[in-house]
Amino acid sequence: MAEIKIQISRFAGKINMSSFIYQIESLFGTLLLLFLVQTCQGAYEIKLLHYLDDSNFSTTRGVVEVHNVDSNDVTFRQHPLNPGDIKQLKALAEKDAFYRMDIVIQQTNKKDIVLSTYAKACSMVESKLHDSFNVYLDHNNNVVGISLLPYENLCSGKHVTDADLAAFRSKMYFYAPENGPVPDTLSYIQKIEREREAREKGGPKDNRSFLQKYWMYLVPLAIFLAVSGAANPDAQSGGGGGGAR
Amino acid sequence: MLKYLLLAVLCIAQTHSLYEDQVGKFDWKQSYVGKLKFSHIDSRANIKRIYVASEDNAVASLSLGSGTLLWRQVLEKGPQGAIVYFHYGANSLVTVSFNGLIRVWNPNDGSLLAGWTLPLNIRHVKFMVDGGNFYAIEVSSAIKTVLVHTYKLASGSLNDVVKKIPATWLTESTYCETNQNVLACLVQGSVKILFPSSGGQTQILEQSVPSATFLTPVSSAIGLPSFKAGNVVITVNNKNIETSQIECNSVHVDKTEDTNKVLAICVRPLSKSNIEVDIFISQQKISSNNLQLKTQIAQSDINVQSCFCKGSSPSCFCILSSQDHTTLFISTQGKVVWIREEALTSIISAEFLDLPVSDVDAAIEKEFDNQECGYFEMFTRRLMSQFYQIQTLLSIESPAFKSSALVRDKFGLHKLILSVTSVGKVFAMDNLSGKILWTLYLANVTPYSVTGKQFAPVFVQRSTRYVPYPAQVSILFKQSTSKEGVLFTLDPITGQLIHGDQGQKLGYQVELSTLLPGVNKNHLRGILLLDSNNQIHLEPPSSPVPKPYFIYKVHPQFGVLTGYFVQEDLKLQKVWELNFGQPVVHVASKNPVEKVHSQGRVLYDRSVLYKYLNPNLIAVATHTPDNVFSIHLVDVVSGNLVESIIHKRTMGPFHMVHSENWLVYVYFNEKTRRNEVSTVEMFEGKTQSNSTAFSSLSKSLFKPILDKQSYILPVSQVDAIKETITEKGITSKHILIALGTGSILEMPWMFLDPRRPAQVTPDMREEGQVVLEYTPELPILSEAIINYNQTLYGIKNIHTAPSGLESTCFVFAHGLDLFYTRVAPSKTFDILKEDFDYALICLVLGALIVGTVVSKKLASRKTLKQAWK
Repeated sequence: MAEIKIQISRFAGKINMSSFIYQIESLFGTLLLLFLVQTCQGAYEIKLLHYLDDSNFSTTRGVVEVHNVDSNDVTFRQHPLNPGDIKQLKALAEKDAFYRMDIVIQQTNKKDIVLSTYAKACSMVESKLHDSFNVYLDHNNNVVGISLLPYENLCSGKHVTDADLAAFRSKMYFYAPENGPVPDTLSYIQKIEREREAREKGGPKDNRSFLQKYWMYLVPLAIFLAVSGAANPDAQSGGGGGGAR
Repeated sequence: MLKYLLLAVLCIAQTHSLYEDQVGKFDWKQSYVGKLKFSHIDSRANIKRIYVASEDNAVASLSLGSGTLLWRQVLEKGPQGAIVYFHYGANSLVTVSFNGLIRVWNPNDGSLLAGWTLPLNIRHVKFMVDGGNFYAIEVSSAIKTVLVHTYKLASGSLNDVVKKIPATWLTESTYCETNQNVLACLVQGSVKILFPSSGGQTQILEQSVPSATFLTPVSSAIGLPSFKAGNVVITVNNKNIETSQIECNSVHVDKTEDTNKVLAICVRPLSKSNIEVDIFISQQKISSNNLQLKTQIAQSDINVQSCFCKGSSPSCFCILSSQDHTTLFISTQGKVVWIREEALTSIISAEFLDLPVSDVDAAIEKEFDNQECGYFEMFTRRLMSQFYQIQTLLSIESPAFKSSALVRDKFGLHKLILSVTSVGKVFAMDNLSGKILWTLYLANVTPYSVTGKQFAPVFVQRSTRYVPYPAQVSILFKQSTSKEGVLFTLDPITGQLIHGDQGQKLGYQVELSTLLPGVNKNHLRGILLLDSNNQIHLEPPSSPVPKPYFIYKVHPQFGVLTGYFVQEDLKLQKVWELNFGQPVVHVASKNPVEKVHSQGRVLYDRSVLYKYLNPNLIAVATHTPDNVFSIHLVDVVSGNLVESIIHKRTMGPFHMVHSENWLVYVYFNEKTRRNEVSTVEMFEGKTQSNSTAFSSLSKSLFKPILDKQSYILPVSQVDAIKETITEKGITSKHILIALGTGSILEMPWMFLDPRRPAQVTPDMREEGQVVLEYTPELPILSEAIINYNQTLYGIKNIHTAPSGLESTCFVFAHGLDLFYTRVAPSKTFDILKEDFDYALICLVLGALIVGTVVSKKLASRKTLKQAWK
């Protein structure tokens, strides 16, 4: 599709003979298309295989078409389970064995990647084939792992009819890796700068006078002196006398 | 200002530096040089020293009498620093490194006298030192000439024009070697001897050695340069060639003092702890001595490094080095003067082991050991043990109870360090003194290697706790030739091998090995081994496998992780697989003996943040060629990828520590050109998902909350990192960082905490918790360096182990030096101070008791008097 569009725009350019402008336009077109391709990089197919017994023979469960990784936009095309399959799955659940899956990621121009995941068969049965897939991506948007999560993750032993186990109802979520932390020097330096500035400016409280600042200490002292003076008038008079001399 | 003061106060409060008188009280350091490559004995009466150069790029001087290190200089790491030439003479020591650096050392103190770079490609050059000149000899078969470049040793300036010796006989396959002032070349069954340093016309001597395929210089006395070509020893004596044929791998050539006859010393190993030293004079064996060693050495090859002889009936002293890196200093009279265990520089696994209980305690244990015996037997046993107890109380020497120093102490501070080296030598050391208790040489084995790291798994199958069963440890190696696994099972206290010298040959290549958690009826933990066909083997075969049991396998080069479920019939069922598509550089799992005391973290607002304590969680680090370093947190039971964290533009070496609910890793940031340390802490949140037991299988969409932070580590190089561990996990954790400068830094977790706030508010401080404000650079405090002023060269790894005391953790670091110490991350809250005044407290207590008795007497007298009134 991309190739065709570029071709058309180039062709148009040639016809109009103002090739310069059109070449720029075509460049823009290419860039735009590249951008589109970049965002739609998740456009690939995932093949789902499952094991309904303890053997090493898997059967196809379905195919997932991944349209857009960022918006979890996928289409599931899964085969319904036939009565034989349901019987096998129930037998697995009875044994408390595992329901195993192989997942084949088929990307164009790339080697197929085979991943595996599993869940307890009983929880698959009890969640009535209602499950979700967590797909983990690496920094280049390659799939590195998938895990299968049944809706009910604990088995309580409740009875599930065969009718409930006819079709899969699945969801798929994509998880991109998180960026690692980096030492936060910038905000630290800014903080230090702010502190330095605050120090240089001087605190706003410093503008007050001595009395304004320390009245809470001075008032009790004055009261104390007054009280002690009142309680002992002789000493005060003596002191006063001394002062007079 | 106040903040800095607070930080400083906190730092002082957090670090636990030693007082001067405590130096060496809890720690010891042993210095090694590595496997000997070159040596020279200086036997002059007033000096008596040995000068050595080693495979680990160290130049050192050893004392002749005791073998202790007098000085040591460690050159550049790796093959670039490899010493290719070593010469001693005229009061200077000359070394040539592979990077072309020529250094002249002062032999008295190891100081550098001169250093210059050779302007030649060192690969095709042979060296020689004669007089004050340094000769670089280029043997060029292309132009059929031997070029001799002469330099002044002290300055490196060219001393003479390049001397050209025409050699039409040179071919592509000609192999040349130098010894002293002689160049010898092996040319199609004959040896040509040249004297490049002599002036004028060059004389060439020739000796035909038809069967020779190789030529090696041989240790020889000054003035007797010798070579070994095939079985023939060629000695150049005063520009004459003397030959002798000796059936011996390694010889030394010397001459007798008076008769001036050439003698040869030949050393050959007889067994692992027995060597034979023979002296030959003109091919006649004149003496033969048998030496009994206190250590075990490799039987295959023993190399005479250098010797010196004196007396007319020659009495010689020789330095030998064996394949297993042991250095021996022996006299030909049949005496081993000293032994240096240089293999200790190549430790690949180390384990702290408990010592057995004392014999008396063992007797008590034995008394209650067997429940099935009858009343009478029980009674006699009890009488016997009580008799023994009385005996030891009265300290009567009894043959049944020889006092042995290797006994567990009350606080569990006395342990045994079991170290396995890459050469196959196993050592047991006393942790308090550093003394080697026993050595064991395992022949024809090589260690396993994963992501460039060598290792030999050590399984502690049974500790000393189960008297009367002895402790049992197994070491897994692979055979050098067949690459199949060999299991060596031994009693770590005595060093006794259970399956004999050859070990237990498994007959398959071991892909994976792990110690099983369950014990059998003999209290022995089993080993699970997986062969290359994914077949499970158990050792011993009857070991119980817990159910359900999962194992995981990592393919480092492809970046594939596979999880298996072990079925009832011990068949593997693949259950999950992850494919990172990038090479795995590091896998960090938690220490299996680790215990976590606190399930959560109390915040300053009194709420609890629960830790994500998943025992099945591992951290896998991958590194792509475009320098993206990724950390993947994988639950290895469910195969869930908990989180991936990427760091762009980073370079190795990477170091990682995974413990409790956090991860610490060190990498080099290429963008900012500095080492950085990142920490990740995982929390479940304010509620705990399952408070009774953790199960990976009850999985849901639950993802832990990750707190991440990064700090600048202002050091040029990090060699290893490790966390401290204590018995119950109550003590706070510190991170030990081995810096490239040779120190081990003890960094409190508080500094690395990803939850360090940008601004500390007053209510954070109020709750009595120590909260540090975020600072991007971590402090390197000299008080936090646990090896104080003792520089440790080339630290390869740090091992930590809990002691019996909750406060104390053992640290054992190894590299070119061994260093042991103990650290107390939360201070020694359960130990009395060293300077605790016992006399004063006894005095006070005594006085109080006397006071009570006296006052009681007085009181009773008073009441009596009052009653009479």
